[in-house]
Amino acid sequence: MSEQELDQLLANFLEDRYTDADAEKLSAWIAEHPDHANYLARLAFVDWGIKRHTAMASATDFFQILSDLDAGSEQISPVEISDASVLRPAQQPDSRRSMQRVRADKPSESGQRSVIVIPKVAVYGPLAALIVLALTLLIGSLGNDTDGAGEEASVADVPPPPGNPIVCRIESSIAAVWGETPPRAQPQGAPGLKAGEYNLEAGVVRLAFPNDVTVVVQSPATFSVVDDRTVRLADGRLSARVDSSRGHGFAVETDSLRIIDLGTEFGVHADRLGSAGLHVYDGEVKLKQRGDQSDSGHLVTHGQSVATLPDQEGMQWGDSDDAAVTRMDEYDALLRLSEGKATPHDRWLAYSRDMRRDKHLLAYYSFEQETLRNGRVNNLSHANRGRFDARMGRGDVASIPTVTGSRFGSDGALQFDRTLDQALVVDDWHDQAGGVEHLTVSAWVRLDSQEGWHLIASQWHDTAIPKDQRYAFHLGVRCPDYPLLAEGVHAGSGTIVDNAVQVPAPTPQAHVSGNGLEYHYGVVNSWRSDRALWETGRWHLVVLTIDAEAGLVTLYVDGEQADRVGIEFAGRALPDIAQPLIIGGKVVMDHEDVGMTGALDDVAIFDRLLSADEIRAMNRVGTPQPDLSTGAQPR
Amino acid sequence: MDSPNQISTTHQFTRLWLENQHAISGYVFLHVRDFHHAEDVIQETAKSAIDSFDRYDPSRPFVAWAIVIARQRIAEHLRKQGKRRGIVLSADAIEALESAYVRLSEDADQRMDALRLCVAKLGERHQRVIELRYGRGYSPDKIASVIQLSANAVNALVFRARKAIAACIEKQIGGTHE
Repeated sequence: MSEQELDQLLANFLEDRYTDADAEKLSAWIAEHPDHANYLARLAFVDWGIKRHTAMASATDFFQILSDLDAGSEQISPVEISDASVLRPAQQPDSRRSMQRVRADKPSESGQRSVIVIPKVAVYGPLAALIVLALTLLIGSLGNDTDGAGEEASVADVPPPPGNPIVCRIESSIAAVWGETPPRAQPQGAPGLKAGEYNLEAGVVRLAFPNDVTVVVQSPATFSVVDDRTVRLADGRLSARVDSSRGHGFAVETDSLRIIDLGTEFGVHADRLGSAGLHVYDGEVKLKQRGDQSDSGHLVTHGQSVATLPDQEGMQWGDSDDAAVTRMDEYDALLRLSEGKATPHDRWLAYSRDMRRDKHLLAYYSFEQETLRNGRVNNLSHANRGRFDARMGRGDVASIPTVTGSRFGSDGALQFDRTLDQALVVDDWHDQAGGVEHLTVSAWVRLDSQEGWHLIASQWHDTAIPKDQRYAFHLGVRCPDYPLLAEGVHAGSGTIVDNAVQVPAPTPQAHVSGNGLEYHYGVVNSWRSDRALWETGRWHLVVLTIDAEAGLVTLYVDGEQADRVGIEFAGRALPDIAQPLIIGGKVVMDHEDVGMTGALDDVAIFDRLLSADEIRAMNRVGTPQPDLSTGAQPR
Repeated sequence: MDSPNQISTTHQFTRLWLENQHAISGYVFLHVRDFHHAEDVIQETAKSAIDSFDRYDPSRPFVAWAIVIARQRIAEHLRKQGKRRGIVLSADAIEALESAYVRLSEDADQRMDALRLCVAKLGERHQRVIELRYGRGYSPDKIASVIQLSANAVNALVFRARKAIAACIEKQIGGTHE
């Protein structure tokens, strides 16, 4: 065991932060040589002594006494005496004089010490009285009983710990900036990390451990390389992947969890307040809570997550979130980006992973194969993980959309057939998403027909709702008249204050014509705008933003503003009604020509407004063309 | 009223306890890291020791006998807390540590005296950390926010300070042993 590892082990033990593995290692070390036990006893005695002294008097008093004692004394340096060998009894006459001076200056020490013999012993009545009596007799005699036998053996007799070798290689890094670390563990320029603690202030690094274990650490992070099978994460995020059975048993520890690999890829995050989370992406791990002495632990498998909070007992189970940490594939994409070798899909992957961490992202459906489970499409929004998962189909097999190739060529998009009523249904949408002031809906769309309505995303009112209480919106295409439209129903009156594009009145019900907006039934307003652009088989990015506060509804196609109308809203942007969100399907079932015939990919919904620049960046990064620039992040 | 023999026995116990209190208490605190809980365990140990003092063999070190009682009370306490099965170190390690505390008891009072001087001789930064950690009872996280370091850096500082104090005490004890 290296000295650094030993220090860490002892420190953890003294801070009561040790694991079963720590206890085993420590036990072995203690039993190895009597001086090891002496060493630990002396260290722990320091703890006890300080606590005892501070309990005797107020902390201020104690440290004031220290200040008084300190006058004229030389300082001791922890750096100078970090070598265990200095625990040997010193033979310095000055030290003896110091001790004598202390005793002379503090003649009341014996009495003060005696008063605190058994702090709560007063409850034992007669014993307490006798102790006080005995103390009177004993004061002084104890002070003379100081001819201790000294050290029977020196720590210096113990062979020094072996050198501190490189434990893992820094396989690669992206814009890594290392913070303050112990000098002997400084990683800059080194091919790897020795056992010790490290602070990664910026960037991402990939560490290669023996036995095909790879760890990606994402800044900011404070972590310790304990040995070639253990990493301790104090603060930050990391992912680990074990590619062969030889690496099984590799462990990641936090203050509250110990995660033992059983052949998997998993992510861990922890903070200094004691929170921690585990996300298993592949295979399974054994999870043990700190203090859990059982051998079994919990088995956490693919798709599951477990979280602990500092002030709550137990663990919270849920679905894994692959945006919680930088996973291996994301790291690979980032690395290729940094090396100028990125594919368009790499760029989109890096972009979308960042987008998923946007706290205003309500829902994001990538439609990648791994997000389709048990007839549902996982919402990949980090902030709304576990909510707004979409149900595939309307309850019958025929209405379940099929997986098709994405704009990058891989299987990562959904194909909808209007004739089969295929759609995604987000049943709990109204529970949490209703009533926001700002809304952005974005989707990549490929139409396979230029007939009828193609609804991208809709939430529509129930016809039983009184007209003056209706709210609704949809984003879609109505061929051949309206290549793109966003239509809404809004309770109360609305006033058109601006319309950038002149559009003929679409229906006989329109009360306002010539400016692209129409009022239904006089008390319900809606809006629509269009721009001819569609051709079958080609992907387009369609974005709708609704700013209810400013009264602006804007449509973007392929990153450029297609239309904007100004409306003075009396209410909220997003329908606050008990209706599900429908993606890629009709909202009113008896409309024969309504639905979607085509494909959708990467549908995202925010409760904030994406700026024009952000939408341009989304289009630029997400469009699979070979001459793409790196692309900005979404915010 | 207690008989003279009883009073004598209690006096004897009290003397022995006082002579060894720091080693016994330190041993308890080694396993029960919460100071107030440790006090409870020390109290329970004292009570058990008094109750069974008639079984103590005066030819053997009192501290070794008391530490065995303390071990039982510690295990009982930890089980009650429900945090651990008991003392988690191996039997060999516990035996070695108990022997270490028996040795340490020989000059425990001197160590307590030397401790003050050694803490006072710490550098300002380490003394500050020790004050915050022990004097004010701050957690490493809170100390970290006070002195603008990471919690791990604080833990490292505290541990280095402990090592420094322990080494300093050895020097002081060595001096007095001359």
